[in-house]
Amino acid sequence: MTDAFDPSSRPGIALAASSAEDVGDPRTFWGDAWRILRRKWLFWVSLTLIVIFVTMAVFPQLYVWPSPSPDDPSGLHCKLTDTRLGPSFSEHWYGTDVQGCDYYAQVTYGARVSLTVALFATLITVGLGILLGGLAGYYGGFLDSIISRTADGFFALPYLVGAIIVLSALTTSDGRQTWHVTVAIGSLGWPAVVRLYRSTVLQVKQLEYVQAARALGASDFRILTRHILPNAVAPTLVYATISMGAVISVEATLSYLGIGLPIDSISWGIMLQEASNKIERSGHLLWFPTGYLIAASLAFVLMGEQLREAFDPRFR
Amino acid sequence: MTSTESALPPPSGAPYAPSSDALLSVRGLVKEFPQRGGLPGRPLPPVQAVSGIDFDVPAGKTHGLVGESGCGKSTVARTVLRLEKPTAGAAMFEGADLFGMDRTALRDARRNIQIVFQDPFASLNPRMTVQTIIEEPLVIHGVSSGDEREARVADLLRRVGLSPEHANRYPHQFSGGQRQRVGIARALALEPRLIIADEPVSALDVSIQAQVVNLLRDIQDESGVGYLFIAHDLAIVRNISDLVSVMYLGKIVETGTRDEIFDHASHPYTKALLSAVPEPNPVTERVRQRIVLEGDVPSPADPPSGCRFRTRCWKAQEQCIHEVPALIDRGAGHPVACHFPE
Repeated sequence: MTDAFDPSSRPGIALAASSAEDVGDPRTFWGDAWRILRRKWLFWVSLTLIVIFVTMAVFPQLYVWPSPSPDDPSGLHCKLTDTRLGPSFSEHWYGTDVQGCDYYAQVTYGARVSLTVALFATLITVGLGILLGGLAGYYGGFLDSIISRTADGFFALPYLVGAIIVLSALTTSDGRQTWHVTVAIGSLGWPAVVRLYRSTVLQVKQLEYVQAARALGASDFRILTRHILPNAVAPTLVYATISMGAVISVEATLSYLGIGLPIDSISWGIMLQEASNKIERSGHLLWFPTGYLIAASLAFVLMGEQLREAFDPRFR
Repeated sequence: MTSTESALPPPSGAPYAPSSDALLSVRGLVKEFPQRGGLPGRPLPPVQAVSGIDFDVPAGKTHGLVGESGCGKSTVARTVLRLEKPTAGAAMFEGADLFGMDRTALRDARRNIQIVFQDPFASLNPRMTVQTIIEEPLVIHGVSSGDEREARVADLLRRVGLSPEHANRYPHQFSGGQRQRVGIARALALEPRLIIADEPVSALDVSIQAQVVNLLRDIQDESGVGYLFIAHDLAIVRNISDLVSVMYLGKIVETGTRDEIFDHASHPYTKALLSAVPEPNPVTERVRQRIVLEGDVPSPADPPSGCRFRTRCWKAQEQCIHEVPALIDRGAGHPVACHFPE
């Protein structure tokens, strides 16, 4: 609590405490966090990067010109004669790939798949984590034991091995789809969120306002959603932001290993895989997607760190 | 005070039936907390927070429950509200058995029993506006809707001495006393028959304490609500209570009307507590004899045999080690749990 000195707590003028003037502007938790964030240059750097990558994913035509046209539906200007040209300022900024397609356009289009997978995998992770962590923390006892031990079991499973198992279970004769990768990544990350959210729920549920709500006769659903969630979700949101960055790299790793996204999709991981055996002669095929990957991943991780500092009262 | 005397335990001290005319009637309430740890086969003994207490809160009256911190006062409040499961005992509220209620019955009962907490900083959800906090009981119990609800919140705010303009503020924008008023407004929203006030003023400045206590008294005069008023500050209990019970280590050691306890205390512990209250009159204050108790409160996990107060009592004798003193009238005119009352 960072309350300013309130004159109404002084004995002599205590009776004036009921007038409206001395209360000040409405201040909220998010408002306080914003006040802290806007003074941090790293926040602005990561925000700028995130805005760039998100618009790149949603409106790639803003970054690639000319936009795809009827005679060049991909917008990649593929010419087989131009295979593996190096970067140049004149025509192909980032050079071309094996098929002679413009690499700058490809790297730009790659943002969509990478960010989509990261976003939905994180949503699955956080959704499952908050649901299970909330139930485990709030009800405790047997339910808590079951959920926590299951989470521990998932921790014992190496991430990549787990992802390979889930992916091979999901893959059908139609081949691998983007959502398979999303589900595989999302279904493995929740145990960390369960632990985190459960521990904050354990703290918050003891607070008097939660007890007060129980004494009022509020339902468990109401207590969990109205009283516990808003007060316990901040650390999980921070984790989710950092995890966005991590998932971007995990997706690239899986794709690089050839067990990730379908080979015909455009993603940074797939590009890395295709570039892996050509780096001696065409290093640009590796450097550009790697640079984007690191920048995007770092942007989310840095943003998460800034949010953590803004939300955590110990940093205030 | 004939009406309040009927609510007192009968002089016999034998277990007695819940009184039906009291608003809240608690009999034989026991709450033990199991301790984790200990060797296999030799578990640690449970912490005996409340060890069999009886009391009544008559309608429209205030029963003050006094004792040092850790004596089990707050556990009594939480157990009566069913925030904790009682180990044993019974509690009748307006003739209905609180501890035997199922979820639906309990929900309805909770309309009529509200609580005001000690810490005005922790008892209001920091993410909710005052409007949302005060209207929550109305929403939960489906009372009134929309504009009517807003008007009711404004009304409640005025009643506790705040301005309706405060409705859109967040709790951290208020001082401690103002927040406690918000907490009281929330407790009043459903027009309960009983309010359990768990140290409602001990976190506040002394000057604010008087205001909040006066507010509680005014509310009682207007609405006829009954209070179970839990506190460790005797001056405040004296101000607001009709009946007083003194608790020590999970048991009631002395109970009676306010005047019986404050003017004719007969349990050594009550006497020691009263001797610690400063006199407002400097002349009498100069001659005030303080009884300083030696030692600390024993652990409720391993309470002393016989009389629980004997380890700190200057009158303790052999009998106190072997025999638990019953809470009966021993000639003082009100029940006292001591073998050698004064």
